[in-house]
Amino acid sequence: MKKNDYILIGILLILSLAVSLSVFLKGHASEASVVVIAVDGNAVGTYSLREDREIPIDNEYGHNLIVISDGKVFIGESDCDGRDCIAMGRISKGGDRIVCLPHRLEVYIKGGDGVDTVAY
Amino acid sequence: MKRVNVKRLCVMGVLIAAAMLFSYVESLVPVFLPIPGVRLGLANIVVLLALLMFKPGEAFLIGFIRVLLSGILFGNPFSLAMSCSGFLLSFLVMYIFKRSDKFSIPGISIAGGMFHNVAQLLCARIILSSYGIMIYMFPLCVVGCITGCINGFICKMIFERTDKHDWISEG
Repeated sequence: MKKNDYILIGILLILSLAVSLSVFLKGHASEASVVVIAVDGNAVGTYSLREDREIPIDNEYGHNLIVISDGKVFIGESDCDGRDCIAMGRISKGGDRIVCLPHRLEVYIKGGDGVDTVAY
Repeated sequence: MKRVNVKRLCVMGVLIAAAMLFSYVESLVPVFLPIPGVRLGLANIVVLLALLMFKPGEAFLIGFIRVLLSGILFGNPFSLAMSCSGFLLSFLVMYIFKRSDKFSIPGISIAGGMFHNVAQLLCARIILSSYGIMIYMFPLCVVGCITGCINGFICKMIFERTDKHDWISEG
């Protein structure tokens, strides 16, 4: 092995590490960043999980207040009977879902570029 | 008419057969790593050996026929596309590095092994249209480095112990 070989190996390994790290960091930033609110199965709004805000939903079924804070979503207020939607707590991962059945309301997080398994 | 060097042709045929045997044998060897698609790449020994002994075009032919045949015999269209892309890039890289004359045989082999995996990963990225898979870049390059190193030293040993004149001479 010559000196050139070691330099080459070093450069290639550093480059590949940079690629992997950038994907790793970017993956964490972009993963599961969109909150979708749907009533009767129709999306009525999409919001970023990064921005803290409160979204009131008022329609013929009733009142809900959806709260986005610290990268998590939860139902803050609801005038439905069971309050199950509030009990479902906070969600933050792609594919997670809160449902308020009496109000035909769904709040879910659209997954990022999640790869569960890859079959070769 | 261009004279066909029969000896050369025979050696090339034997090398293709050897490369195919290697790629079959290594498919029987399980690799205990949590990364998909890791293989030893033993067939690369033959391709590198051919690159050192034959003209680039002939070495390319040996490698390409090997990939095509073992892809058709043991694989599926998906694995054929993967190994084809891996072979093309790694061959190109090994050819350039060999021509530059600045690297040793293990060095060329390591570069080939790494770029083989890089090409396969890019191919998988296109097929799956998933960006997240690129996270495998570093582990696959480390694996490519290790397997390339092993193959490179084996290739170096074979190369040093072979009578080059007997292999490729006219007659």
